Amino acid sequence: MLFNSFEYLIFLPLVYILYWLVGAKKLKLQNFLILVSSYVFYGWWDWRFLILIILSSAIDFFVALRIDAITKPRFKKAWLYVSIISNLGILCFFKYYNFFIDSWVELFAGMGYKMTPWTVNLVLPIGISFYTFQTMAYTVDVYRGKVAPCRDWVSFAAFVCFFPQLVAGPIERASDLLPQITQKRKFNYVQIVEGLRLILWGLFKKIVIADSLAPIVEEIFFYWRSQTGTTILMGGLFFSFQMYADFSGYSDIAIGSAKLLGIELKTNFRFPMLSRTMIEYWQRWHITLSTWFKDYVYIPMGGSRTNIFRASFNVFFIFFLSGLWHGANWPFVVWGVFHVLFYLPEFIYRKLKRKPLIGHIHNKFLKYTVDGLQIAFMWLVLSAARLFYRSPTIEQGALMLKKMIVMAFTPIRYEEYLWYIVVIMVIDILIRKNERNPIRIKNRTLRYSYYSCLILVILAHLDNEFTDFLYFQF
Amino acid sequence: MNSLIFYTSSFDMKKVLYRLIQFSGFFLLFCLVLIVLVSYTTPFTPYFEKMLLVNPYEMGENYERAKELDVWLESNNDTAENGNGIMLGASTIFSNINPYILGEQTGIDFFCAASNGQPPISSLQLLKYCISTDKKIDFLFMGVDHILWDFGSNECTSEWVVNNYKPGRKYVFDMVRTTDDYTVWVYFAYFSIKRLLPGTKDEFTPKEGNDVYMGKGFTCCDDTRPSKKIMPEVAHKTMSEENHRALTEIIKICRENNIEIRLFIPGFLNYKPDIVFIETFGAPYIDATPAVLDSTYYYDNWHLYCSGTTAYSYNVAALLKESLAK
Repeated sequence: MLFNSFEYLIFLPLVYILYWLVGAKKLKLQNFLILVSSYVFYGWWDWRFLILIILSSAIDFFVALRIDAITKPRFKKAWLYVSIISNLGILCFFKYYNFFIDSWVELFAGMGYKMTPWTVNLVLPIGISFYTFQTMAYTVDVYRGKVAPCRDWVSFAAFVCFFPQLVAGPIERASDLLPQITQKRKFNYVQIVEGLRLILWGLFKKIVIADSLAPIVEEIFFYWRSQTGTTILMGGLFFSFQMYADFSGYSDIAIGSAKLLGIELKTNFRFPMLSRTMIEYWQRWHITLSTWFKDYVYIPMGGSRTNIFRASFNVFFIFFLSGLWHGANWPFVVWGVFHVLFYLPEFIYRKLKRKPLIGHIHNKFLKYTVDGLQIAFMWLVLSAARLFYRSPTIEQGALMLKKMIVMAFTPIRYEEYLWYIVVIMVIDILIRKNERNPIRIKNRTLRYSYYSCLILVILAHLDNEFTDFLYFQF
Repeated sequence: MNSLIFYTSSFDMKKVLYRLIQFSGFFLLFCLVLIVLVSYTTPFTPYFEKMLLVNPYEMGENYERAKELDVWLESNNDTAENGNGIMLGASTIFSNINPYILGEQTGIDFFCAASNGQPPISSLQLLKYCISTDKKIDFLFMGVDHILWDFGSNECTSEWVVNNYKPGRKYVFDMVRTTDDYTVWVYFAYFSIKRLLPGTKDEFTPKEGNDVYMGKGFTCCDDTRPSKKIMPEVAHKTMSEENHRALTEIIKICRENNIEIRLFIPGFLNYKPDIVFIETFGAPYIDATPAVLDSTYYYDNWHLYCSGTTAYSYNVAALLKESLAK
């Protein structure tokens, strides 16, 4: 079920009413409602994939209980490996099996050996990367003693498949979400209103900004050979903003929907298109994934508390993994590596000098000018990186990048679509101090007028065919 | 129930409900005021209307056609030698066949009430409207185009709803009611309110195109328009149940009202019609495949340039005369 569909428009109020009216007195009933509605929400795409999510939940529920029950560290670790291997096994099989097989075949073909590939026609279960990371992190946290194991199956299963964040995050930690599920929720007027505002704002970003840019991006990337260098740059820029509006729009709707059920989810985006450096960008973009990699891969590898070479390798490895996480295809890996090229110089500088690349500037005008130039440079880098992300092959991405650089000052096409970027940037700048409450106007008539305008613009942009969110593919 | 509502929050739940109702009322009022304000900008600039209604500016070509249809329906019944005829169907009718030539050749006073992508269901609604007036309809020239058989009527509905000078008529509302495109309701609301307001500009000029309106519902495609790619083959579509029912009802209405009907299978490039299927309806038909012209006269597989419509219309008139003589 898509957030931007009529089904969800009926589903969410229905769940909300049942949740607060029927289930208000009993926590268990509320959790059961979350579980059932989440399975309905997920099964709407394909009920067969429910088996996977139930299997994943069952493994980690059982393993966490075993880890807690056992005292010997060796056995605890063994159970942890059971969880990691089974979760990654399922993920690798469904997401990476064909990719690895094809890559091996190509590698051997390059060395002159012919292999007959044995690939399987697999459909990627929606959101598998998200819920696998969430449930796996729970077992790791139980192993580390950070979280007590959940002994109630319904609560745990509800935590794994909580529908607002099930298919594209935010990737929640057990320490944040599980206590909210196991403790009694209170109906809170402010929380509900904030939730509704976030849903409205998220729909605006998805339907008005992302879906309007999508056909232009499609056109530029499809007919890339006949495009000028500047148009290709525009293609990369439009795609960067499409991704941002699409994914952050999804996150806003997810956080808003959870708020309606009295549950707070983590912030996933903090205005990443206002980032001045690559390090800052990754502190603002898909925050829950970045922190997941940091806590469960980067720090166990030694993090930045090692020598400069090892620390740099750790950073490189995380970006490589991040690229691979986004998709089982080499252009995604190149996208990740492209980012690390601009991340590492600042990272090394900071590590060696222990201060940021550009220090504090007292003159306000000068500060805004430098900030503006840095942001513009970041847009250029992000647009270039997105060429690989969007291209089906590395070769196409590289050729597009070459064209973009060689034919840098050629006439622009599709400039009228820049208005969408202007709109989202102006609003982002205006609301940058409070991403969780994007509509804060004190005067009620003005506020209602603003809501009404947003709804009308959304309706004017709504198509009969609802489009998927881009991050569903991961 | 009452105790359950107030258990959760006592005050908060009531407040949310109250605010939602309050906002819904505000939203309706806001839309109404906005429509009025935008309507009153139309005598000075089309800019705001264009901003409010994005898609209609790519449609709304039926302003003159809808107006002339009413004039024709109100006109004297006795002007035509062989009675009055209505042409229904899609763009393969209204942009390819000149009703003046058809009338001159057959003695029937034809009016073309076909429209872009008009499926049988919408043609049925128009036919019902036409026969409900005082005009005596003697003949129906009914285009049956495979391309539209599974069509949900969006394009055509917008054509008749958007920019219609009298949106309050039954056939307009019927089209809105039966469409699966919710935006048509928005257009309908806008144009209905706009028409009630004195001093607003009646019509807007739709997209800048190369279509030339020739009168009697006939529009053709200017010869200067760049040609589209000609497809090597035009595939058949299966007819939806809804459209099947509609076409059957059209034939039934014709029989009940003594309207002579000809199902017209339009001829176009690289297309082989399914004659066997058309025969199952049990109504006389004309297969226009022999009337197809050289591909240079075509703008795309379906549509002729203005220069081709004359020759094609004479060919079709000859086929019609032959069919009527049988």
